[in-house]
Amino acid sequence: MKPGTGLRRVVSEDESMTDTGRPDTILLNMGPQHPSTHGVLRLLIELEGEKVVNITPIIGYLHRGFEKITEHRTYIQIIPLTDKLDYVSSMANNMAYVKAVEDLMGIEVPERAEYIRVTVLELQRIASHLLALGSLGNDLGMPFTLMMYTFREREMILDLFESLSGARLGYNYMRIGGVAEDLPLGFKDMTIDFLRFLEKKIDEYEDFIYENEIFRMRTEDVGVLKAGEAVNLGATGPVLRGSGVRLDIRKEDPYSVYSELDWKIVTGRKGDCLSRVLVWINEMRMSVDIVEQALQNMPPGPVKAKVPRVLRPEGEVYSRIESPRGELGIHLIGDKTTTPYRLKIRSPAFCNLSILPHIAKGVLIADLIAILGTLDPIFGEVDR
Amino acid sequence: MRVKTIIAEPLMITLKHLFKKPVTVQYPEERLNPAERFRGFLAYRPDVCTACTSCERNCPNKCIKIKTRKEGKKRFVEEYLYFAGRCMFCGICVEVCPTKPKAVYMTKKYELADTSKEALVFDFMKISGGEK
Amino acid sequence: MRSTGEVSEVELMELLNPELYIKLLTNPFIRGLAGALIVAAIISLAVLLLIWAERKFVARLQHRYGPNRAGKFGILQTLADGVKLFLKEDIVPESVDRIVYTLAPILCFSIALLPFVAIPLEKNLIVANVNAGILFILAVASLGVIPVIMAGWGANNKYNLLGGMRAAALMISYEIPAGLAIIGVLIISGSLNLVDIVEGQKDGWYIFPQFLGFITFLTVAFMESSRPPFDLPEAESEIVQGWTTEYGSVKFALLMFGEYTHAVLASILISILYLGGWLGPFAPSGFWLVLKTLIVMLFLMWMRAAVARIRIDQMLNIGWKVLVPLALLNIGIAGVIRFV
Repeated sequence: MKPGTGLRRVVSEDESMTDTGRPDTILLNMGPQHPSTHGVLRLLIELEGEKVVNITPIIGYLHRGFEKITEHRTYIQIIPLTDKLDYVSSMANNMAYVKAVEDLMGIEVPERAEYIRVTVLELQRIASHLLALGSLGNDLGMPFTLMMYTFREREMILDLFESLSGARLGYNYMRIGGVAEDLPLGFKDMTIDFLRFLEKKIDEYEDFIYENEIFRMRTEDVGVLKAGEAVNLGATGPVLRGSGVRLDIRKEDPYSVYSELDWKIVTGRKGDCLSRVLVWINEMRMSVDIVEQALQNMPPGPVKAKVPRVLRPEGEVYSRIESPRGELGIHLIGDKTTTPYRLKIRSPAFCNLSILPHIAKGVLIADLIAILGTLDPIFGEVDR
Repeated sequence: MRVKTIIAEPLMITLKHLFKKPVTVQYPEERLNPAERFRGFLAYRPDVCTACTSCERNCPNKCIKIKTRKEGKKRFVEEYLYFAGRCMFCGICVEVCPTKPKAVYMTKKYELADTSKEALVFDFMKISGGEK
Repeated sequence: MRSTGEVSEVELMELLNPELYIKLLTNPFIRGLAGALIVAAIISLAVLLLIWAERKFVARLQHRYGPNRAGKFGILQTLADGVKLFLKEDIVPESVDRIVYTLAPILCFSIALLPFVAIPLEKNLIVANVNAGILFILAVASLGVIPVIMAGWGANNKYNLLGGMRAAALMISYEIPAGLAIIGVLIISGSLNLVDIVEGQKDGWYIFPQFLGFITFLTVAFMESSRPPFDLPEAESEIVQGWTTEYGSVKFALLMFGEYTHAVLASILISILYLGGWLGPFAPSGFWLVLKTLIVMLFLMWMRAAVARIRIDQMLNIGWKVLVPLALLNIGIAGVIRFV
């Protein structure tokens, strides 16, 4: 089985897996069960000593037939299903889907609902980046230290979300035309307290990373992705912005109330792993800012628009949002029935993962793990 | 020498945490309280229910099974089965229930493990003691 | 003259004669054997306690409790883990090289315990007062790489192989700086005997004139015992379990034990060579040595929690381009100090 020769070779598995046909390389199978592949990813690595010559990611171990299931569910029933896509940032998934239906049907969302959505989305971005940072620390060899610290803050965000929606991970909070329920009492104060606390912690994380010589040695100049390459390969999100490209869906194709809030796009400079990690950290700071502004400017009003009980949209729409991982797009085709005709998800983690063979040529195994960590794949989303 | 001075920083940060109380909660002796709106196990009030079967129709995972009968103009629920093993606790059934107070609502119970799949099927009419 | 089959009173008296026992006790072979067994027992117990201490300490640094269910404060946790490992089914994969695969854990465990016979707990508390003590210890400690490479090769698994090869590369980079750093100490102390080295620190611990050597040897201690940040052979996030991947149950327990014993050895060496061994005020025998070893071990544990893992080419860089010049500079300084 020769790696790097395309998907067709992967299907037939009766050949011996330990033969690369070259005398100086071995084939290492970083299997679906591995301490650092962030989920069920299988990597076929052709190794020359410790150097990676070629790599083929094999995915599909978490495929649950999501897009097919949605063809038999009504539009309201699909919302909790989208939670389970990118299970780490389910508010973003909810938002992407709900926005697609609203675009298709031309539903106008009340302003208070939009502000609540922005608050929740940015808090979700912080939570997702904290998790990515913690897992990266694990992969690079600091067992659990960084993860314990970042998860402590993530727990606080999860507590906030629990008081808001009733669940810790699969929120089912957005509805077509608004959000499910208004903010509970005291939410605003709790959030602002939490943000104060978080700002200091973000500084601490930046110190921990930037001043940690070995962390920098492991991530600096590793896995460099040039700007032109990144755009060509279809990378989005922190991966793209880490290479210096100023592309953010929230500014490019603004949705919700992002155009009314004051914030800037965060980019890195060199396109290596360290730049991507710094993009995470600075995006967290920017999100703190956005949440504060949204909470201050939130107008009173209803939180859900008047939407017919049974939805029968017709037409086709592609709508996208900036999820913590990149551009999450939903292509929705409705055919006047209560279930969609087709729901296709453009998942950012899938597209970001596909650039792995291009930037991981000639690196050592240790670097491969660091690169995979900063690409931040979540397999619920990659495999759907 | 740069190596040494820059390694000292993470050492100091971790040292700070040595002297704080750990954040972990010793379950099962200590438990955290779920929030007000926590979506836990389902519960049913047969006296308020109008047998509209909205919850059954709107459940994404088909975990509610209702058998109704008609008596003149009104409908009554004969059997209300809840498949807890399929439920994803999304709360849609509660949201679409038209009655006030809600006939089906969510409690704060989350410790639901059991030893067999059959034990996860709950007959709510039997539990609540039949129709009122 | 006595008849056969009868034991006369004279012979019975001979058995109870204390001279016989004194001859037994002063027989060097018997003494050596007893001493070795006692040392093995003590070090085993120490490793058990230290593993518990490490888990608790590292956990506290990470803002969580460590094990606290097995016994009060979780002190029986290591014992529980050991019992669990011993009771597990010993699975041997089909295509391994049987002899090498089975021999590696046994060798790892025994070679790791071997240098402790030459380490003095106090001036007169030593099992084998080898005159070239430090040389003996270094030689035996470097034998410790052999089981690692054996395990890496014998298990017929690419992950094991990667781990074993990394261990071989690691060993090359640390042996030379270790030797050079120790030469600095030897220049100042003038003797290879460990007891003399400690006695020579009565006027001042060797860490002060030999600071560079101390740094070098401290880094080498991490490398030799495969502790983070230099734990490449068993880098869990990259190569699953490294060179111990295909091992389970008893064999795994022996391997882990041997690895940890290396860490203890490195810490004891540092306390003897640089921190003054058992010298200290008002203490009973050996207390200070134990305390200093403990402090060095705590530092090793602390680094484990705080620092990421280094990459192999960076590690080779450090070994050759940083540590060797440091050690050479150190020898120069030692020479200047000694002869001026």
